[in-house]
Amino acid sequence: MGMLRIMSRRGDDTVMWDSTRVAMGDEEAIAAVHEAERIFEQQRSRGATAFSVGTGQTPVRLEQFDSAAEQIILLPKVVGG
Amino acid sequence: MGVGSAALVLVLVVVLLSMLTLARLIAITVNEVRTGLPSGGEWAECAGDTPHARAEELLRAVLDEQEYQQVRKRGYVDVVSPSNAQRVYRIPRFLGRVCVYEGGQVVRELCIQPVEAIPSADVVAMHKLMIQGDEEHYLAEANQFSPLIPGRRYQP
Repeated sequence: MGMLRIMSRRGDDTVMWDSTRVAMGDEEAIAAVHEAERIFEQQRSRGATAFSVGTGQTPVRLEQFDSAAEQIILLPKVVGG
Repeated sequence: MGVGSAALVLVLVVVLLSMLTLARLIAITVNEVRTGLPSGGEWAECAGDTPHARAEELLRAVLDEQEYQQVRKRGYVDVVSPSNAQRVYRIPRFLGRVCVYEGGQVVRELCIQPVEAIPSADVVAMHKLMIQGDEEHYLAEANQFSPLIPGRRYQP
């Protein structure tokens, strides 16, 4: 399963997709990936930063959506306080 | 040293100790108000599907078990710099700046925040992800300050 988590005042919103079903051409799974990618691009255009997070792995900053990522976390734009 | 100078030093020491005690009391009070628990207690997770509960779940996924226990019991989590093994970032669970220790001594404090209000658990996760995933960007964005208490030693 792939997962996109978007931090917000509501906690985090989540979009999930089944990578195996995506590979098999399942329309519903593909639609979920497209929705995740759309949200990713929308949030990035607003200044969000994305990190790919895998179990036991160091986070990696993402510039582009990666449907193969185990988990993508989108942080809101940050500024010095 | 004359009697006057000694008295002045004594007064300064008393004032400093009083300020440190007051700061400690304020920190304990803030912790108790925020956690609803006596000092030394652990932060209680929010039950149910609330923003804070979801943020807590995300924080738990981002931290390893040792880090998660540290943040629950001590109110901060330490993250070692990926570029400098001698540098440690101490991220507070709630309010406060991130303290940067190098070679076992605090060297500066950082302030960086999201433009959108998010639950405090998400803020902790945000610091950890940015430090580990893009430290250079993190340091470039953060405002940097001299440490509030210069020379403070790192204590795990």
